[in-house]
Amino acid sequence: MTPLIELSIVAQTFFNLWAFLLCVWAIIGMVHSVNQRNFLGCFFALVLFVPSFYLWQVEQEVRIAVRLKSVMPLNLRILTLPYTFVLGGLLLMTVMAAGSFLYAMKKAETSISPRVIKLCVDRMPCGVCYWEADGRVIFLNTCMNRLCNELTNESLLNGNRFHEAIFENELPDDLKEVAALLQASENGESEENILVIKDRVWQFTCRAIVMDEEALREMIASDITEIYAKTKALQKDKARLVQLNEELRQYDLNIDETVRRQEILQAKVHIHDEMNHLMLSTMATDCHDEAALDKIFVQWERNALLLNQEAQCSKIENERERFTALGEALGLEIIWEDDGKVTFDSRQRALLFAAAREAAANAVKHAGAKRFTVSFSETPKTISCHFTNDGVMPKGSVVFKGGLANLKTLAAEQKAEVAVRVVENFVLDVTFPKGIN
Amino acid sequence: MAYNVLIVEDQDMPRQLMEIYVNSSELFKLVVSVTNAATAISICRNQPVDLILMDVMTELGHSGLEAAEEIKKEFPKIKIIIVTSMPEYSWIGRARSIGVDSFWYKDGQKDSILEVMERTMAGEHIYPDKTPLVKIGNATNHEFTERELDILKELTTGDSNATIADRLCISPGTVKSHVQHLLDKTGFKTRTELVSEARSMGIVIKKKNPVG
Repeated sequence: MTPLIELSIVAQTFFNLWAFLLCVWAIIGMVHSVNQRNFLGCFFALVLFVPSFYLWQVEQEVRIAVRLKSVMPLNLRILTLPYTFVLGGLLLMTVMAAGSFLYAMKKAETSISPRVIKLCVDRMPCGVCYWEADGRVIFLNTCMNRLCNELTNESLLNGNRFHEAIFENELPDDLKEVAALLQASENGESEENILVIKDRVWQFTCRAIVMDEEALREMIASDITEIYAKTKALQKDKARLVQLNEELRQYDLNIDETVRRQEILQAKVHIHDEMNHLMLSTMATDCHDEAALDKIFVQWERNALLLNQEAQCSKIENERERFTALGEALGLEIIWEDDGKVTFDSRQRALLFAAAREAAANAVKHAGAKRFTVSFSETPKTISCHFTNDGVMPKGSVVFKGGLANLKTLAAEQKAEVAVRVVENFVLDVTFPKGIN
Repeated sequence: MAYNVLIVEDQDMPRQLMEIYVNSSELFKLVVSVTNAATAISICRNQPVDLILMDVMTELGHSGLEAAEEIKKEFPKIKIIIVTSMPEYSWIGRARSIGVDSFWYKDGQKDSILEVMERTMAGEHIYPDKTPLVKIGNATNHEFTERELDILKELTTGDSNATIADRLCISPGTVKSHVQHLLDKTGFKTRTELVSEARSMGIVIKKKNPVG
């Protein structure tokens, strides 16, 4: 077998170059492994580097030895080895290099280096910061550092100082509502605050964590400018809707009264229309047609009676007579305990008679009453009307619903109060404050 | 022999007009006229009544339809004529289901109340084909579907779509769709306008404090 030293220059150069490339590969592998903190890879690369470097050195010395006609004793042994031996070594190291390359590729698919993590976190749109209990920052991204600069005009060097700067300010009122809506933590595990920094709205969330048995603090900053704007717009819409709904409710409360007045007006207009038609019919009727004249006369009589009654209906006696007639129809004896000293205006009277009718209806329907008493009383500040009956007492408390509830609502419009007492008898009281019309 | 008539009407003028009509007829005799429908059943128990002229919306929110239902159960022979001027869409159907004998609109009816009373006592059931035509915005009340009218009635409460949907057992999206149809038909821009107009026209009336 031809020893290495007797190979041609070309062959020797080839081996030399091969060994050199393996050296370079090993160096690259070592640097990469150190970067990745892959100590096994690093060791592997070292194992590859040493023999390949030695071989490359030996090859260099062959050239020098040929030139200077001198060789070191140790290297002489290697130089006299058959070239196949060296070739085998180089092939083995090449296989090792290829294997380590494939291993590194596979590892890169399943692992990520700290540098890459830092690169990614720096590109995140939110701020991230971790620090120890004494304030020493152990991890920080570009965004959080920039926020710290904009807020405090300093870089983020101490986590505790930064935390104070974030949480020392009380939230403005308009941000408080948004903060409540956007609260990330429901059980109070973390602190949260919202700040406006250079026209952007940031939500800072800080919490304590334990990592590798070490207590750390974590701060995350999220840009909520758009969410804030949308939340404000939604709140405004909601307030407007609540207001509209309230207006609608008020309108519904008032509309009944308006519609009733409209009905009365329509009825009056109808009668006037009828009278106009009657006038025209009268003028057009043949004065010799007695049947037609009789018919027209009856209609005139009706309208006249109606207008006459309308003119009289505001009198008190009419209302009292009507109530007494109702009592008779119900089989109820109406007793008025009225000395005439207490007086009410027309609106109050209308309410009182409505209350009287409601109380009478309930007295007959629910209590089987036969006697219904209306009495009055007065104090320096109030005037009252009391309705009582001789019927069965109600079982349990009286609930204001239906007619009684509507009566209470009507009374409230006149600042009056409607109350129920159950003492010896059931009593419905309607009380007006004096001096209010 | 004259028929005994009970009038239940809270508005003075229509009530007095009906009193005059009844008193002027030999066929009818007025028992009493009252303003509160809650008294009607007690009067029927205490007085001989053959015919009731019953308004729908009476004093303190008492419903003439509810009183009519009560009376029909206890006194099926008493004839009841519902008398109203409101074009509320659901009342005709409700009156029919209760067994009310006739239904009469105060305005715009070609038959007078006396004619209706006479025909009712003769055994006829007189009902209008439709509610009176009322213009609301660019549409009329006859152009709305029954469901749209249900939604319109609920809108008068001022409640949100979600609450209305719960009450009607439909989805909020369906409510929203119906509201949009109503707005498109009437030409109103907001539901507030729509509801205020419908309410004032009397097309829909939602009871605030239901009696009973």
